[in-house]
Amino acid sequence: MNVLVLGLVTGIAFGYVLQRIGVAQCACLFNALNLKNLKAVKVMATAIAVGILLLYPIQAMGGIALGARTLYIGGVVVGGAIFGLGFALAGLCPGTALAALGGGKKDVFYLMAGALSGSFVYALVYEPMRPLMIDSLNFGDLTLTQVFGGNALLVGYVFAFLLLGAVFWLDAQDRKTGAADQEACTLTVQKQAPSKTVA
Amino acid sequence: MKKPYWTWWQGGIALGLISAFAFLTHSGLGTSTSYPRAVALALNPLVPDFVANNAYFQRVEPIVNWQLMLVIGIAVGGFIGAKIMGLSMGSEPAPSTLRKVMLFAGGFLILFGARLAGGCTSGHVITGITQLSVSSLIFGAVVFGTGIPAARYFARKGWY
Repeated sequence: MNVLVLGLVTGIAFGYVLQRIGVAQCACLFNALNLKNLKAVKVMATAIAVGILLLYPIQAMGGIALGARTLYIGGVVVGGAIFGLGFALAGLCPGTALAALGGGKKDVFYLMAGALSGSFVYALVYEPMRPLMIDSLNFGDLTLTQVFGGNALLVGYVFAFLLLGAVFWLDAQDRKTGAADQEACTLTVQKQAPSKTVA
Repeated sequence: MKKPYWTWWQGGIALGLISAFAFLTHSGLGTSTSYPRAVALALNPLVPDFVANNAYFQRVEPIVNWQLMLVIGIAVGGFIGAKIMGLSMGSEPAPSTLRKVMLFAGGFLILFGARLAGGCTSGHVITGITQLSVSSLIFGAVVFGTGIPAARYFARKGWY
């Protein structure tokens, strides 16, 4: 298949799934970051675990090389902090914002205007920032397998099962607080309003 | 609403399958590079010399590639999903000025931060942690370490 058509088809499936889960509603993330309803976190962690369980045996048989993201401390930490702040303000990320836009959320145009402006400003400051943020404290494409040594399949499977354990623990917390799955996209943070009459 | 949302485990499995499909057929999922690429594509006919000489646009060239099509597809998929679920589309009340500012600032920060860190929720968190990248684990920890106190502060302020 043509690579562009492949990208489009993968994207349609991706956007459909994001919408069906409810993460294209900004309330889903606001609830998660306020620790009111952790559905968004459980979804992400489950997706990672499923990906590892499927892909690492294929990698072990030589069918695929997964690669890694480059570790450069300055950019990753500062960028992550900036991203986290934006995440809390918007309730959407670059992927879910597009699914929300397709789903007819007109106010996401404001986010898009900000996103394109942020991209443009980044392109302007990339060159002067690069020596400090990206080139220094750069450890290359480091993975947990390299850190711990040993077999990627084993490290991957141990990580995936620990992650699934964490997901079930988070789900138990949601059950304790009565945070229902179907209510994840309804904003519940107002319930902690000053009077605290709602238990 | 005609259809309910998928549960977290249905959604997590579906998302994991798409992530694995992307890895096997092209590369891991990622979206944020397509925003500066869209900027480069828009600016290129207007100011070709600026785009050609900008160090970042030399890395993120003004071309249409797999990820740009993926990003367009996400919007299409989001539309189909909303239709099938019977979500009310485009009928929300107009956002308040505060909400507009939060969306613009939030959009600015998620893209600036993602480009500086080298990925976003899809590229770093889903794809990068699936690769067991140390970089992505640090990114994820910092994002939630910042996002959780920020969101709790905004909630106390009554901004949501």
